[in-house]
Amino acid sequence: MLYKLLCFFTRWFFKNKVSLLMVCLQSLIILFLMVLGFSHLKEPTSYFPSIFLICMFFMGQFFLIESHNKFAQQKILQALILTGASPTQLYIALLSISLAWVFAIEVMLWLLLHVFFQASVIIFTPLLCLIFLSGSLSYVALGILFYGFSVFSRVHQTLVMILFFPLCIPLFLFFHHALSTAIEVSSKPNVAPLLGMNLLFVFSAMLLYEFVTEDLT
Amino acid sequence: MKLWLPISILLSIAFATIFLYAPMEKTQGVVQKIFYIHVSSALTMYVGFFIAFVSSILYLVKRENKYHWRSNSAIEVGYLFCCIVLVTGPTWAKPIWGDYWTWEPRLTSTFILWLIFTGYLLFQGYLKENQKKAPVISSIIAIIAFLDVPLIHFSVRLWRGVHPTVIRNKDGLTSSMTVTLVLTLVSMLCLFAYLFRHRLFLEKLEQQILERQS
Amino acid sequence: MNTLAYFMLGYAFFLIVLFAYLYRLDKKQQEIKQLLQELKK
Repeated sequence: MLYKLLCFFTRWFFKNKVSLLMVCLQSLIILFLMVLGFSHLKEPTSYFPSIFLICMFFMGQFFLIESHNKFAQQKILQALILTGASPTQLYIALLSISLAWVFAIEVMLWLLLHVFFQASVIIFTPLLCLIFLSGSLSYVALGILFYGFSVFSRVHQTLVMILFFPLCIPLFLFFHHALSTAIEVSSKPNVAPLLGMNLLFVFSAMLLYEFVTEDLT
Repeated sequence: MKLWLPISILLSIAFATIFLYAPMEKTQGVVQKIFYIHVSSALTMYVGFFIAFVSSILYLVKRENKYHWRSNSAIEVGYLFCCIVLVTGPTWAKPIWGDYWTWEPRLTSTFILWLIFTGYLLFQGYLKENQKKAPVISSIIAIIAFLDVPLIHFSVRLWRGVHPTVIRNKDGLTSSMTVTLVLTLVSMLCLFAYLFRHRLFLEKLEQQILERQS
Repeated sequence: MNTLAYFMLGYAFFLIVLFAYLYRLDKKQQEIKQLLQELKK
């Protein structure tokens, strides 16, 4: 079932790729504004983690809002649950596909950051990939849980955003810490808090997703 | 509901102890006495949020409305104490540190906690119209918010660890200070219990109205 | 400003918040009781 769900979501995302991509690329506007504000800095590389996180936050929000909007319009999640998918399977499938999507856009944003700020060396290591993945994991995990409210009980998405932001602050602080230590050559990157947070949030959000979807099962 | 009398007597005794019995701190002067309500409010706030966390879990497991009312009331009263902590803190900090606000770990984490529960209460106001699913959603939010508390503390410490600006030297408390603090804490907890009970009672009355209307 | 002023400010805020909240609860209680009575009629 999980495999089928994964295939379904892959196809669904592929089908809706244009609109989702357009929405995600709105974060380029924010990136441009950042370039406007910070281009005078002599060493912009040290500001990359902060700039990247701001763009990533908005990109993630746009993505979650748009995808859940479409789910609500097309009644996709309800239909999948009625066809027999368990909430946990649905959650895992949705999480893995969304994570892949967010990760791909993050890599793109990170590379664009170097291009826009005319950095002399492009910093992109496997360790950075791990940090991107683990940083977006709990972000997407919580996002799917919270934006699930808007699909299953018609809660307004702006309200979700208000609630979601303060909950994400520790994640951003960990993410910032990991990124800024990773791009410095001398220091040792610290990914452990991010991984610990992922473990806590992915597990608890997976358990709680059952309650979000309960009326339909 | 005649509990307000012993509570107010207890609070008056605590205040009298703060003003008359507790010793004057040598370097900070009289302003140090904010410490007693500041710290006891902070602890009471955590008690409130913890009650909300436990009753939210109980609600999701048992599906009895009383647990939802408990968590809702505990968060509202806990939020009140959070506001007190956030305002008494800066009034104490201004004469001592020279600034109302510094991005010191404890201040920052309390502020983030305040933001989260402001979001929760805003959400609550909206959810009233969305009755059926409201208890489940608010329980989920309360659980995630409480799980966030240790992470907030840890992350903020990590963040400020990179740029240390404020160093707080705290001498140990004298015995009379400890007595005053414990007394204030006990009276604060009683105050919390009273407000919590009152709020819970209102929640039940509201439910009666909803039942009659339907 | 004198430290005493800050000290007074802190306590005043505590009392103001407390009484404002109690007032709010009381008002809400009265409203609800009134509504209940109306519904009973």
